Amino acid sequence: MRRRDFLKWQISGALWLAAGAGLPAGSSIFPPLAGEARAASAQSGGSPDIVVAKGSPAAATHACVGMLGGMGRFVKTGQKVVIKPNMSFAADASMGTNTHPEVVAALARMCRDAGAASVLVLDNPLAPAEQCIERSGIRAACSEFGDIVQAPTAERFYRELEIAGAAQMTTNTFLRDALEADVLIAAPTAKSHSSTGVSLGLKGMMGLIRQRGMMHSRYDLDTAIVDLNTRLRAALTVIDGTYVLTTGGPGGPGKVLQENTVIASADPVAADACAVESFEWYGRRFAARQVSHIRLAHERGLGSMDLAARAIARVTL
Amino acid sequence: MNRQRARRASRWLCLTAFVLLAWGTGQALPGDGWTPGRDLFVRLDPAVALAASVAGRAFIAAAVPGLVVLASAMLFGRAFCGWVCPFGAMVDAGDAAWNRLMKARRRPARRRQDARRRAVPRMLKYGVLAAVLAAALAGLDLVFWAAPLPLAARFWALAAWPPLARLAEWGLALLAPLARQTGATGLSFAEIAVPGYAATGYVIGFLALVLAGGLLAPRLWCRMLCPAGAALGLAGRMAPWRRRVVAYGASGACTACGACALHCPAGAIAADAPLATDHAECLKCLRCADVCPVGAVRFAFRESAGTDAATAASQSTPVTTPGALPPHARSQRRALLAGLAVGTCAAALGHAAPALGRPEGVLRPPGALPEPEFLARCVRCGLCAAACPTNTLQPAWLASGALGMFSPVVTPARGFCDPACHACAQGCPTTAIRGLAHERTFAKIGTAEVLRDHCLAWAKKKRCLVCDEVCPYDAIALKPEPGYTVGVPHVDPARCAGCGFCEKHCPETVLASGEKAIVIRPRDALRIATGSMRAAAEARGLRLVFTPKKPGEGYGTEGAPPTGSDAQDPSPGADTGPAPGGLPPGFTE
Repeated sequence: MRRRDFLKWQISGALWLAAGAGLPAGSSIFPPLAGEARAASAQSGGSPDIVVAKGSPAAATHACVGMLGGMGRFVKTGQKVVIKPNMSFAADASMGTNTHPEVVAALARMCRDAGAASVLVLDNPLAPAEQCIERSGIRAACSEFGDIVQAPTAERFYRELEIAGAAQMTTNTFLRDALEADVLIAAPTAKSHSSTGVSLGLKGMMGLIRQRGMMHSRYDLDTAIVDLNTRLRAALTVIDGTYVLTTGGPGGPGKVLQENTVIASADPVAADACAVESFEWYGRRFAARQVSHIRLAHERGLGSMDLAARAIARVTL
Repeated sequence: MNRQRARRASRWLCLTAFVLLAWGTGQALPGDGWTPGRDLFVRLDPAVALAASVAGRAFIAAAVPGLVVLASAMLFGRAFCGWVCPFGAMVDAGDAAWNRLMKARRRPARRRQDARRRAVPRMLKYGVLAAVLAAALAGLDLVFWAAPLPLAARFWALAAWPPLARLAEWGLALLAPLARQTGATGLSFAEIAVPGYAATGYVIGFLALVLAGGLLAPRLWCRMLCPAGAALGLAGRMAPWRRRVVAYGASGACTACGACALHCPAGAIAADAPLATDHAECLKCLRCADVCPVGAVRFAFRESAGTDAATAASQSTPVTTPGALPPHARSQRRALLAGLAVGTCAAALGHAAPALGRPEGVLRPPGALPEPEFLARCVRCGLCAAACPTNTLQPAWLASGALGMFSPVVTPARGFCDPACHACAQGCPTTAIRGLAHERTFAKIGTAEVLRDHCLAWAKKKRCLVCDEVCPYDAIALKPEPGYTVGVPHVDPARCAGCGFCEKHCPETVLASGEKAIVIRPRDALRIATGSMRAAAEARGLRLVFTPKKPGEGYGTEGAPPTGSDAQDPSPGADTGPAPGGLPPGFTE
């Protein structure tokens, strides 16, 4: 049995949280509640490893992060934060190819409230950058925080870097801001991927490098994804499962299920594993180990896909 | 001298406007109404308007400004050359630079005078015009070799812009840290795309040659070769607004000092007969009037009563003499005839050997007219390439034949052709690329072909799905094949618009040829001169669906309806469901 029973009272606390987050002025009410939740978790001997929240995108995101201990657990005052969403396609969130703008905006707000010196929302897009930023709705959603949504493509924004201890891909060109960030937050949308099964937090790190082609051509893609994640480690992974593209990913169009779910964890492998097992793919269910790059990441110690051993908190708002 | 200052200001203004428009600043103007296109100035070129209309066998609405300029010559002669033409301004600037260089040497005045006095074979330009028009009559457009404004546009847009953009990009890189510190995040991430174009060496070399003409005589190009100048000169021979001189004997009369002849940059005044003017050469720069020590020269629509009667008489006498033509008119006629012959020969050669390019043709921008009409109309100004945001449009060198030089080709390996963009059509001065409005996404420019001997999936059995991932028409499907554990890409030609996302993003390059492992071929491109692009696509059974479908809906519900022959292919995605008994792509047991 998962430690769900043990966490039941925590969930009731989370409901309070969610109620706060759901209000229009959620951000102003939110911090004290987060504080309470954190205190509560501390009493119970720690926050859950993974939170699965069902609800509207913003509220579910707030609830997830709150139950993990609040953004203050990940972002300290004065730190530089980079949020990596999926905004590689010039389409709105309901297509399932991009992260829901409200999830990104909620994360940006929490980072700012936690005292981050700077928050940037960055992705190296496949489609023309300007269109992606615009049509994904992410720029508009984050406009109140300044011009933080950027899709840099020019060479000068990237830096060649070796990946120490890589199994195959020993070098790539990384987005400078991602390397210089104190905190990296993965905010992918949950979608299928015709090459890697699913595209979630681990796979999404490919949006912070420039030489993606060689991951397909020169290396084993799954191994290269794990290599990449040894260098780009997300402190927090928040998976947007509002619209899940269960077939036809990563570009779509495909079958989209509206799951209204957000999954978050400090463990990138656990978050991805949980997302794999939470949704159906191609009309059926899969175990996390059936996705090669998640299994490899688990084996190489980037995290744990063994969900049975992890504390999962589920909340419906 | 105020008039000279005004003229200089007018020309610099026109040149500046021309360059700024060619660089696309018109689009950056505020307001969402009409914005001046890149091609606005090029459309003023009378040679372009004439040749494109004649060669294209069409009335080209976009070329009307050029015809208006030509008509204006009937009133004002070659005033366009002296006051407006940006290429003329460039030639003048070149002349001024040479003068300055020469001034530093010994005996400057002497050399300058020599240069001014030197006879220029001015009849040559009529030959050029005749050749261009003869070829146009035969359906070939040769005007791009010599028409001044396309030449200028090619230089500024294709040769001058990339280095400038590079400089600006360096500037932004230097500025970025400061911008970041002051919180100007947007500025710190600002990028200026630095395009690269083929054949710029030629463009620069040609311009250098033209400017080097300034060593021999001022405005050598305008006087000797320019077909637009020739057309305006012919139209302006009888222009009523012309140079008029107070004849000898009257008060304030010409003293035959020769100052006007010495200063005329066009050589339109003979030193030994300063009363007469070659009106086909006169650029209406008014310098003769300004340098005349006694004020005997003026430009006006009519003679002032009485005083100029002698001038009129002296000028009209030789023309009205029946019988033999004056020597100058005879040589003009000879030049025209020679030009006609040359143009006809060139056209005959061009028609006989049009296939110097690739036999399969080249990828043309979306909405390009059928190839013969396209080549007939395209004046090779390069503005479509300059307008292209992905840099995929390139001036062709010889790929589309000797007659297709500098015509635009799509090079997907360099950039995809965005189906949501039709900037090239907006930049075309002769509508050789049709504007398609909301039917743009149906303009199929070619068809993708997987090179199975090189494709990572087909040849190396590697898992690679990039082409499928990026295809905005959902024309590529990864399908299981016997003997493969990975899905391999198949292109559905009926869905493929040839946009080139796949080729651009394909990670595999064939070493021998430099090609990608999936390439767009010109095959089945939709090239229609009139009518609906969408209807043409549907008539051919194409199912070009660019607009994303609503989530969860099946395929084939939007865009062109599936035709019977395609009915057996229910799911073009094909990676939407597991193969019987197998696993969906990317999953393992």
